[in-house]
Amino acid sequence: MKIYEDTSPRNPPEWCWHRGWATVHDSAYGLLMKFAFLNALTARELAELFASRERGKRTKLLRTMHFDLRDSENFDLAAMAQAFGTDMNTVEGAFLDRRFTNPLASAAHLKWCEECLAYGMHLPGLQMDLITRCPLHNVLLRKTCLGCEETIPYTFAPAIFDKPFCCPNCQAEMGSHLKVARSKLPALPDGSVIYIERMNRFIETSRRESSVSLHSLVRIR
Amino acid sequence: MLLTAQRPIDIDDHPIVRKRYLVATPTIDLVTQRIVKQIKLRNPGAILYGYPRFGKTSSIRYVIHYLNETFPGSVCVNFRCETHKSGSEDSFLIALLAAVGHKEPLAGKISRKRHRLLEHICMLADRSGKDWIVFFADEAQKLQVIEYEWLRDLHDALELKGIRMITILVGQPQLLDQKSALRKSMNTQIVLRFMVTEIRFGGIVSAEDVATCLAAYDASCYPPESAWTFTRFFYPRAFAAGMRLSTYAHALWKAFERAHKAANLGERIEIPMAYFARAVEHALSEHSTRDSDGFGFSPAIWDEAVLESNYVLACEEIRLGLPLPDWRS
Repeated sequence: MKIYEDTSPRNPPEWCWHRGWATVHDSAYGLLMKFAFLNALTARELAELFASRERGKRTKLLRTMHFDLRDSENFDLAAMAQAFGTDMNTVEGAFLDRRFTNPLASAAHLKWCEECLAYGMHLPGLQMDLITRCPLHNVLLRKTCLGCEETIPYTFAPAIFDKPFCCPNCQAEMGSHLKVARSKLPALPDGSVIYIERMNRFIETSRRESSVSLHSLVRIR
Repeated sequence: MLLTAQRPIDIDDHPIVRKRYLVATPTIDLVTQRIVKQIKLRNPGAILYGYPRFGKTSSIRYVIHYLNETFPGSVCVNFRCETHKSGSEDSFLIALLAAVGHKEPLAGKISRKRHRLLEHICMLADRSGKDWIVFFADEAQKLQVIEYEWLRDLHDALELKGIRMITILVGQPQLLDQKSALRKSMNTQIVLRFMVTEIRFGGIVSAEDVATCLAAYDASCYPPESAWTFTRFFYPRAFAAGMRLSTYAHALWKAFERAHKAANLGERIEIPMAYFARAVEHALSEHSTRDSDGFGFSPAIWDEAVLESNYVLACEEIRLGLPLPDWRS
């Protein structure tokens, strides 16, 4: 028999999070929803954790509790990276303004692939106006809820985040597989990364081409 | 100074002086093996009962250390049951959330806390790679029927997720009365889940038990990677000359026996772990300045150590406050 030093055997305080649930392809919507779901946090509690620390801005964000998920300036990215156990690049890539050069060419309401979102996966590129199909499943993206036909704002707001992966209007379930998955989610289909990268490249090149043609038009005139 | 006498750390930093160590008694060893068996069989629960100061709470910590060593990554949750006027699910869930190590045990309504707890336990279990988790409910005699029901709900919810929750109810012998009462009130669902196995937590009852415990002081080292056993740390010269604490097992047992008889505490001697450890700590730390090649513990040192341990005063308190136990076999 031996003697142990009586160090505290308590489990150190931490957030509930599965590292495998944060991929480099997740959007801010996907990451925050998964975190809210696992920790059963309300939108306000989530905002207290992740709203930008910039003085003045934070007060406004917490007061209005309604801010754009496309804009990384609204968030404390370092706090998010720490909570999600990932790096800053992954968190930055979750926001449209960091990932794409023309984030304004995007929808202000959620666009999603039903098959992806059932597992909690939402790609930031899906929000872009140019994208109408899921690069992984090749299905048309939904812009309205299947149950109530309402759009879902792509914003951080209590109505949307208080019940993660549910339609804020009719409470229709959108993340059914994720909610029973425990930590292991099925791996992305073969070639997924290539398809996602191709989609992201398409978004960027299309933008450049459109801006080039616009520039040419101006010159001609 | 001899090389053998140069201690690697300051004497005040040693776990013996700081009272921050866990030594196994034969009872703790038995309890540990019974709990390991519970885990291997995936039995959902057991009662571990014993009188106060017998070292039940320390034994939980010992078992957790042992389990972490034997089953690396295993998840053990130690929570202390609290007295409530009436059962409050909110407080109960807060205590469990804090015990499992969730960063936000306080926020939100009960339904949110319940969900948070379930997900957090799933996370811990998945991370450990095991399909079981052990809950130690300390002072479990304070649990009310409704709190057992909440534990049962958690147990069932985890079962659905494929995780076996093994609950060890640790408390005073009143736990056995609770078990009878639950059986009488037809709450067999609780008894069957948590109370089928009974493990008695006893004290030290023989010179052999004392020898087993003392041998641990001779063999275990601190700092752990050093060659400084607990005995050597306090008596380096004597240790180098061959002195071992375990050879004094009979002398220490006799000292307890003398004190016991002098105070008319009855026939049967059962030394609670807390007082035994205190006596050893006293003997180790109070006379270390007398360390020499020829040092040995005299009966007078042991008598003094037993006196300082407050063993007699405690036994008198137990005799006044509680009828001495007629232990279940």
